[in-house]
Amino acid sequence: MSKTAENLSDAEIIERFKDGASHLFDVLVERYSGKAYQIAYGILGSKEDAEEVAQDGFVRIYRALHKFRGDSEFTTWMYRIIVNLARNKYRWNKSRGARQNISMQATPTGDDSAPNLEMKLPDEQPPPDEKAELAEFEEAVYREMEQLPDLYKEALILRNVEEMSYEEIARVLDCKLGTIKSRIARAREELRKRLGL
Amino acid sequence: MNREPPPNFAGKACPTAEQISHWHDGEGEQNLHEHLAQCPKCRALADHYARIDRAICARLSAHDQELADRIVRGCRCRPRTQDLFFNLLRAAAVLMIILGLAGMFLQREPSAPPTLTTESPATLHQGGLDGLEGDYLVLIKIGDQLRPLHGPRLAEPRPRTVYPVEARERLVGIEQARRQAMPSPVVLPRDVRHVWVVGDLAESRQKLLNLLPEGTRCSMPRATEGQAMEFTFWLGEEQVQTLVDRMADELGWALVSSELPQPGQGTRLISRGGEIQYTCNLIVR
Repeated sequence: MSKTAENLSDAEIIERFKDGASHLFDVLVERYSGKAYQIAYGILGSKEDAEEVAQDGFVRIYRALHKFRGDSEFTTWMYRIIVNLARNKYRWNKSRGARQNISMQATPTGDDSAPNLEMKLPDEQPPPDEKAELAEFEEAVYREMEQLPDLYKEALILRNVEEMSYEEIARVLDCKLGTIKSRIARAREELRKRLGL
Repeated sequence: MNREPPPNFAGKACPTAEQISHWHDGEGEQNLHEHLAQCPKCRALADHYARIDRAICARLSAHDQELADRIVRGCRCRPRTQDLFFNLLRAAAVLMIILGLAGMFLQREPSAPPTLTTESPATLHQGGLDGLEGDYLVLIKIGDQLRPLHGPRLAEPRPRTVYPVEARERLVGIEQARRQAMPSPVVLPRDVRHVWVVGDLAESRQKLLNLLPEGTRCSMPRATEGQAMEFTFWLGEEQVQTLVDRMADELGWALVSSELPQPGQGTRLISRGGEIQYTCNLIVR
């Protein structure tokens, strides 16, 4: 009895895709688009940008899949593409001044080089309930993650996407295992200190 | 970051923040569990890491359920704006290179068209072409056609060939530059036979052997008619040219043969690789 498309492994799908069954690409998108989006969102912090990167990533994968030789896992290859695209987008945004934090107290001088522009959110008033407190904490975590070095942030994001193993993160980011362990630990510790925990 | 072990707890050094981070990921030392159960400071650190991770995961998982559908649609029908941009960029670069090259050629073109001056027919053989002053294209009559004689044709060893020169055209522009950059090349045949006029045969034989590079293969010298001697050497093209130069310059011998290589043509030698069989006849003056 033949397998349904959903039951096929990634390798089987890719093999059939190369043989002309291009509709099976939808299964890969269904399986991994969420993860791709999560990684991109973690790095970029913007839903619109994350969706654009995920979309762009899968367009590239679709076009390049017939050349995929299977030297690594499909997921490793895919995550690497997404991370690179997100990284490029992040740098592009940064160079264009997108998502710049603007202090509510800062005088709008129109001078882009004005130092110490920082949005003091959330409000210092206590949250009305636990849910709001949690949302506030998440917001604070994401705000502080923006300040982390990119290499730390990427490693921590990948770790939190379906608990990717250290080995897999090392393959995606093309680093040594020890480097990844160290980056993740430093990212956490840096966040903890910044959050005042 | 806490890189040094924190203060001791219950007589045992606390793990580093990095070790606790590994433990939190389930990839570190699992025997830390007992320590964390007893050490409130380390346990608090692990709890903070867990809380931070939960906050990250909560944000990461908040994505639109229709995302996959939109991505699939995008893969099928998305306009390739980026490709279009890069293709335009590539086309612009190619166009600029073409325009640049065209500009260079136009600058090198002469302002006036080349002139053709017919001179009285003369005769010269191949060696005489080198003596021409200035840059000229020599047209040679072969049958009923006029053909230019330059470039590789000069390299062909055609000694004693007499060509009637019909006309000379001043070379201009690119052709002139090409000829200045690349003088007529010399390509040696695989088998070269030269006759040299020498003084004392025995002394000349010794001098010739002294000129040969180390390890040169050579035939046994063969005396012919008592007043002559024949050697055959197997040398590289440049080695043959060097040997001929030294025989003429250092030993002062006279080369009778007109076959290539001739002395002093080393700068025009085009090497094809491989060995030349160089047969050398020494004749007493």
